[in-house]
Amino acid sequence: MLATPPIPRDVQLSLSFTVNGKPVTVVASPGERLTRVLREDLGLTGTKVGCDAGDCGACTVLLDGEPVCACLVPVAQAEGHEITTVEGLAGRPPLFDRLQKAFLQHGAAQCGACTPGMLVAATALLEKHEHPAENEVMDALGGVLCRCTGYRKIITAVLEAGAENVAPVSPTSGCAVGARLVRLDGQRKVDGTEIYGADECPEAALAVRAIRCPHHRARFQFGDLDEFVTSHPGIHAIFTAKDVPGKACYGVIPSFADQTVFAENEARFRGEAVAIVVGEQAAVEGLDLASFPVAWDELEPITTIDAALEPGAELIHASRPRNVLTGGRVVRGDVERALAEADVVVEDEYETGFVEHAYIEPEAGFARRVGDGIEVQACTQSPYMDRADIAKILDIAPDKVRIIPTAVGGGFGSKLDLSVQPFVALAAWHLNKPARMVYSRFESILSTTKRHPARMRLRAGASRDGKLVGLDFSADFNTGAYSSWGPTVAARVPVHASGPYQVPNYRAVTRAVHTHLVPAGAFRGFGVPQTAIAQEQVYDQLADRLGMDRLEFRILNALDDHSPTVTGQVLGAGVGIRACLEALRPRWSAARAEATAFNATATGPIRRGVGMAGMWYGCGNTSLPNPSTVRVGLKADGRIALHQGAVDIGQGSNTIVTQICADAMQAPIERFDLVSGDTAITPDCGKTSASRQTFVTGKAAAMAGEKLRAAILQLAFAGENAAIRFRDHCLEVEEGGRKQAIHLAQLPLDEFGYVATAEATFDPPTSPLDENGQGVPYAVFGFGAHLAEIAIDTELGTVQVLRITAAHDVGRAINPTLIEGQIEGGAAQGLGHALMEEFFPGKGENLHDYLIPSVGDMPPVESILIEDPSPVGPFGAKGIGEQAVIPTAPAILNAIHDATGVRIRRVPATPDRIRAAILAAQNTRSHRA
Amino acid sequence: MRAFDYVSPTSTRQAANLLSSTWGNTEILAGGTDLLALMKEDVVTPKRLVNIKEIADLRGVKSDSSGLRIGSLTTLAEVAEDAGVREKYPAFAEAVREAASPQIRNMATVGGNLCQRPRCWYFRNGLGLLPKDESGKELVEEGDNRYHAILGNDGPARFVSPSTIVPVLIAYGAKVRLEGPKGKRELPLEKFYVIPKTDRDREHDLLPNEIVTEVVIPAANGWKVAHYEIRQKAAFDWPLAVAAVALKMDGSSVQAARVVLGHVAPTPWPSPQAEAALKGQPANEDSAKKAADAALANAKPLSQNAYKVQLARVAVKRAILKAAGGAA
Ligand SMILES: Cc1cc2nc3c(=O)[nH]c(=O)nc-3n(C[C@H](O)[C@H](O)[C@H](O)COP(=O)(O)OP(=O)(O)OC[C@H]3O[C@@H](n4cnc5c(N)ncnc54)[C@H](O)[C@@H]3O)c2cc1C
Ligand code: FES
Ligand code: FES
Repeated sequence: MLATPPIPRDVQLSLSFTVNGKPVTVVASPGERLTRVLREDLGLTGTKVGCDAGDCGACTVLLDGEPVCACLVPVAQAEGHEITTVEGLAGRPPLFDRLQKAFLQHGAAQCGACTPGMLVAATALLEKHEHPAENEVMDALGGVLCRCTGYRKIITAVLEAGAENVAPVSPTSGCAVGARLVRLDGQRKVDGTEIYGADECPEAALAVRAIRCPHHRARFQFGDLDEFVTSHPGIHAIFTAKDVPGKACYGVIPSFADQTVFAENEARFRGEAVAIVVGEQAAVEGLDLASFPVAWDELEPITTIDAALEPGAELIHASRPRNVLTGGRVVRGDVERALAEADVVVEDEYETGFVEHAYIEPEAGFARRVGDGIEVQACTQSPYMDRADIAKILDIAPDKVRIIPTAVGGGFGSKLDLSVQPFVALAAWHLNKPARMVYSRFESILSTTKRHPARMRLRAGASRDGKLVGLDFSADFNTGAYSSWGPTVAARVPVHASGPYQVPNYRAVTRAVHTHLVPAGAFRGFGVPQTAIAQEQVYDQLADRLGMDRLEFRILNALDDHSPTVTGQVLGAGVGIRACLEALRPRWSAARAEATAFNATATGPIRRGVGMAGMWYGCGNTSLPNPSTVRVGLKADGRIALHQGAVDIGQGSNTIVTQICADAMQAPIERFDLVSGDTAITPDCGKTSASRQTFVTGKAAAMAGEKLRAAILQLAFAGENAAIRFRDHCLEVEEGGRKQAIHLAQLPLDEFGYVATAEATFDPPTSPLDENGQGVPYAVFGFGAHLAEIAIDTELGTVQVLRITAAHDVGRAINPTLIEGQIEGGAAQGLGHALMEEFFPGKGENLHDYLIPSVGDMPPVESILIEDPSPVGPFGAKGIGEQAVIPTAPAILNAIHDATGVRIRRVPATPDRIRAAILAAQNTRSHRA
Repeated sequence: MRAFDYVSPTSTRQAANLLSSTWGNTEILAGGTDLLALMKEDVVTPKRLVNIKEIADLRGVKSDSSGLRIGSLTTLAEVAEDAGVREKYPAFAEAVREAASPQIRNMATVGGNLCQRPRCWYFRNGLGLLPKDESGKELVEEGDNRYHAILGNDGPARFVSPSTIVPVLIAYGAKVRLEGPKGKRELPLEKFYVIPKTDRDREHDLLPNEIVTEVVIPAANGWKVAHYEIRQKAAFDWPLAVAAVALKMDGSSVQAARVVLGHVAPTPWPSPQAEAALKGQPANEDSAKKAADAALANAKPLSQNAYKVQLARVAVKRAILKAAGGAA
């Protein structure tokens, strides 16, 4: 038999296979990835693309019943086979029904970006073994990464999919707060219909591809761009700095705005965009970028904090002397004197590296011109800030810009900054055609913000009776080439470096320093996780020097309602740190006893250790206004529209804010219709960051809900204690046995189209900090403490975390399942930060060199929820999103020390660093001997 | 991804004829798990892809007098589930089960695994197998080499051989069978890997128009084999070091040994030094340690990877002890 003749390139084949039980025929080039064909040609966008390289498993589909990565299947190899995507799993009841329900019930989907892959992989397993063991579940899910959940709830959901499930909780009126309510946007996440940044695009949208600087620093010159456009059929235009209408710089903090859409003449970091190419999708994707007419002249970059601060170092921004972006400072008491008089003093230095957010959804979106305005639909954490910056870039009024946030497949801070938005907006604006851009994983890691590398020096002192007397803390943060959230980190860290303890004498000084590296920005905790790594390891050392139990030392020094913080703030109520620490006591003693017993008899290289760390974190902006406005409307059909602009990036604000509003209105939660954070229809709720949405937007929602209830009661001339029953098209108001019906259709509609509307704005009460950083930086703090139990292989320097116990004071647990989800997910990121995560600019811009915890790395996490209500927060609630990540890494690092006696001063604690520390300790010991 | 021709031959002979006799023009496509990633980043830019998945003869596991014959298109998942492999070559089955993820194992073929390209981040960034900058400076030596070679790294190659299943195959004495326009040949698997001397060479003893057709593992009569790998994460990342050991015991002492390291050198790295150190010794902690020291005696770490010497040493030691304790 003869071979079929080679199919020449650019020729498309007609290929037939089965998708979700239906035969399909597609015309595609044979090497096209199956993901592409499924998503773009067949419209099955439930299958996600997180890496295009086999590393994340988001694209998992079944090929003849076996899970494969659709991103690595050339479509020609699918010919004649049977493909099942997440959309097709619905055809597999009852197993899949149970699996979906279990996912919802257990909160196994947060942002949902990994969920389709998880569901497909789990289905393949369950169809083989209906009642798998935990390790079989872990093996089966081992190829799908999740950045949000910490995996444990997913494992539980798969294990329980075999069992009969209870129906989802549906609380009655007035009881939503505190209920383990299934997330309101959950169904879309478990059936694959949720729309993320890359999942929608107008017909005939042009594709946008960025030309980015391949060097840390380079001058550049373009060749003949017009010739490039004319000689490449399908390419419509190239845009560069000269095509940007707005000349002002943009940036997330207006007073530090220093970014332009494209570098001009000189690029300041590897990955900075210098141009975009816009054209038809196939033409843009087929481009050989090596032939793009740009000549790079590589320049010597400044990559370290030291080099940047060197006297006479070249300035990365002419206006910023010594390359210092800005600094922060909090001073209280007399630290020098306190340390001089302290009975014990510990001095130490710590260093951390860049950390990548590694959400599973790379940035994506599209823009289209609508008359004299522009619409941008993209994944974002901050629609109104995007609106302001796009307006600046296009030099148009903000109300000409409409931002339509899609579901966000994980953000963790990085999607606060602009990514694709300026590029698609510019292309659509100039060409008057819709334009779309989807970052590759490489591009996402290359060009988006990171966690700041930190270098921290500490001196801490205590008196013989175990009281902390002083802490002197200084830190430099490598903030990269542009400001991004550097100023926020510099300001927030000095307020938090004491930890949740009474430190009467205190000095904390920070600097954010520019280098020619990717900008460091916002990442869950704004510098506080790095700080806790240093401060909590130093406190362990102090306790050891004092001969005190490490937990009791912290309990002794814990802040209380009446003690001043390092900024002189007295919170008065809601300081739950002591309760958190005390909640760890039972596990602390038991775990320490178990570890001691294990080590006493250990003959092999494994040693056990137990460590803990405390945390506090102020909710909302540091001493700056950050209001949220929520609008609630009663519709003529008796349903309630909740306009809440807090973008749900997986953390659950869609659900939490509704729960709060429902209880404030005393209305059943099923009556609510969520209206998205689209800037055209929903007021500004600020950004989803700084753990502010439950607290700030939640509070605004509570106020708006109360207002709407009051308005309804007024309609009925009823008093405050009347009960309202919501019916279709009708309300029943009952007061003291008197019942009356309000027929909604008879009422006039207001400007929003509702029968009644209420709007409320909440801005947390704070005050500016003085030159010593004294004042009220936050209205509310969240508190917590984690305990980590580990086993370390001392021959290899590898660490296995066996168990995490996490106590958090959340004020009021609005939805315990979602809070546990935040805690477990935070612990997973903390574990990654402690043990494996470090990004090296220029190396490993992908998800196999950049390691994040996979399912096998996550131990069980026991969450203990403490409810010491905040007097300000809605129903007493505080934030949890960032709080959860902070204490895990220091707890693990303290456990490593507990197990081995070595202290890891440079994170992550990778095998090479741990081994080097163990060897160094052995050498000093043998020298002494 | 650039455009390319695509062809699906149904026999090895046709496939060989469709392949170019010089590297760079054509590539074999099997499971695609490595090749598609390389093509996406323009690390390889073939003008034609020869899809061999339609060649039915290359599939499946058979056993005959030469031992176990694994067709090059057999997937890693099929190998891991094969009763014969699990029963007769448990250490190989274990290595396969630990590789990659279930999804990848369902797609990745054994032939592709043997022929997968190095994971060196300079190579994957398109800077070549022997990356140098314009001035001729060696990028790995001067740069970030934390994951690079500690043995066989005198240059110019400093990447590490990526497969985690090849060391144990070598320990079992596996052979690889190839077919090209000039016919068939068979090589001991360790001879299939070579250290490239120039950027035009490959790291395999494979002609551009040759195809790996099968891997043959001789009967493991009397050999006790173990595989040990050290990964930073619990699963699904690249190991830092791998060791595979086969022991033939004579009573309580080692009559013959095969010790092969992985992820430490540009090729899988058999260690005659360790084998010699074990010969005639009892297989215990002490002899395992000495053999491990011997295996790493010639290690020459680069600026950032000295830690790998210790990891590899421990991997060898533990693999020896595991082999001594376990069945074949
Ligand atoms: C996320 C991830 C994790 C991984 N983890 C591991 C791991 O832990 N351990 C491990 O060993 N591997 C691992 N791999 C590598 C994986 O095993 C290989 O990519 C796979 O085995 C290659 O097989 P394939 O059929 O997909 O080959 P392809 O991608 O189709 O081909 C790979 C290369 O081999 C050539 N080739 C393929 N078949 C033949 C043949 N028969 N004759 C000659 N040349 C051929 C191709 O031309 C190409 O150059 C991992 C890969 C990924 C993506
Ligand atoms: S997109 Fe396929 S594995 Fe990540
Ligand atoms: S829920 Fe898994 S990645 Fe977000």
